[in-house]
Amino acid sequence: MIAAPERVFRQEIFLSIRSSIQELHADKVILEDVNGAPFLFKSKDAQIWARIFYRSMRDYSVEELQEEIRKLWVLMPNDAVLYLFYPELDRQQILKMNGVSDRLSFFEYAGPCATASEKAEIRICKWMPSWVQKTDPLPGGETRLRIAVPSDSFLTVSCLTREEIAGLSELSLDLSRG
Amino acid sequence: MSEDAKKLVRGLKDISPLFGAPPEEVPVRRSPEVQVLAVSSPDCEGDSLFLNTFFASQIALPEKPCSLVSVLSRHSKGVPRVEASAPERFGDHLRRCALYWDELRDLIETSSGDRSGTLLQSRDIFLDFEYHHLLHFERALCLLDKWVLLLKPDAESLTEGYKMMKVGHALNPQLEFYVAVAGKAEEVKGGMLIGRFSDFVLKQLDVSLGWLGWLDLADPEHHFSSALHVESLSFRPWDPKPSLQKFVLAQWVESLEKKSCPGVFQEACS
Repeated sequence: MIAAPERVFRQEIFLSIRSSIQELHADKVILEDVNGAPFLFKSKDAQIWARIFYRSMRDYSVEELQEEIRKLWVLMPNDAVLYLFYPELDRQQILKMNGVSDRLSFFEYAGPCATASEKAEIRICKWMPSWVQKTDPLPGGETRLRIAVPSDSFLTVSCLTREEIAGLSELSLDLSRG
Repeated sequence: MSEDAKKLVRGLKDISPLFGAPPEEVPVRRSPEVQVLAVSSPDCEGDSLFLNTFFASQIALPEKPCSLVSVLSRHSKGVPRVEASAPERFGDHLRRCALYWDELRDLIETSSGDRSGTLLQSRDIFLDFEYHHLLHFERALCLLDKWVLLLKPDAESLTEGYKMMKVGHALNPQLEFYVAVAGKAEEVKGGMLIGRFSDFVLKQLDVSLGWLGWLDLADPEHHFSSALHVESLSFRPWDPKPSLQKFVLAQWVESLEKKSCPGVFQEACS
């Protein structure tokens, strides 16, 4: 059972994230559906869905995440996007999920913290679009999921190639060695 | 010159002294030195105004107007709307005006430029926007000449910064990138880090990074202990990238300033 303060805390996060999504998609109507709170909301045209988690991404396995996403896919139109919010992201998990879909974006939030207007707000700290890199068929005839990313989106080009991921990982290792 | 042409010139000189007089020197109409810059950081979402103001204050000069143009979301919380008709003064050499994303899009996509014949003032413009708001109008990146990225010396920040560069380069191949590192100045470590990162970016994107130095955001009392070399952000006449959209933006800023204080503007122009 969730304690009352925790419930209030979640509600604040939920409302604040919904408000941020409304800000990001000013042309959409983000529904205030009490049934989904404090975990899920969507836009009126069902093109934007947001699922909010209150535990670190590390607390979930990749399989659990994929199952959660698949459940939502059933409800979502084919061209809808899904935003997943976590208090802490795990880059390795996201990389492992590469290939699940090109319509996912992962956000990390912090807060809520009271502002001058006495209204609690969260802060979006990180944002990682999760798009599959296009790969050649693997040896043995196995092929990986190949998803066409819409070419007209500026988000599309921020997708990293395998070579870029390797180069950045090498750089990260050098940094961690000091 | 052929014989016929020589005769024609002689004949013209005979009928009018105009053709005999040495040509008067026509004053050269120089193109205005307009450049658009922006400062962003993957780690300081929400601090765009501060970062742009800080860097703008570093290069603003009394003899060349420097403007901050804040692009706002209509649903932004806690951001008071700055009236479009009244640019706000930020210190001695800096003025800020604001518009919404849809207004910027309309301005850039529908305006065909000034046909009044008046020459624009030279100006540096800092476009202040939150990176994730580019979803509203990604072509805003095409306005930029220089994009400064403030990165932390850690893996995630470099990765996110690289993604921003990749996006910027894809949408605006002429865009120049400059990097400053957030933290206390550590010349050796910083040099190595930026050297490695710069090599990586050059290899992947064929883009050369400019290195600006350090900015310690945790030290506001000492002007953020900034150890920056911002000279390279100044306009360079040998490397102009004229674009209609850029001049449309400059013209919009200038028209606001003219409206708000025509006297001051005239004085500044003279």
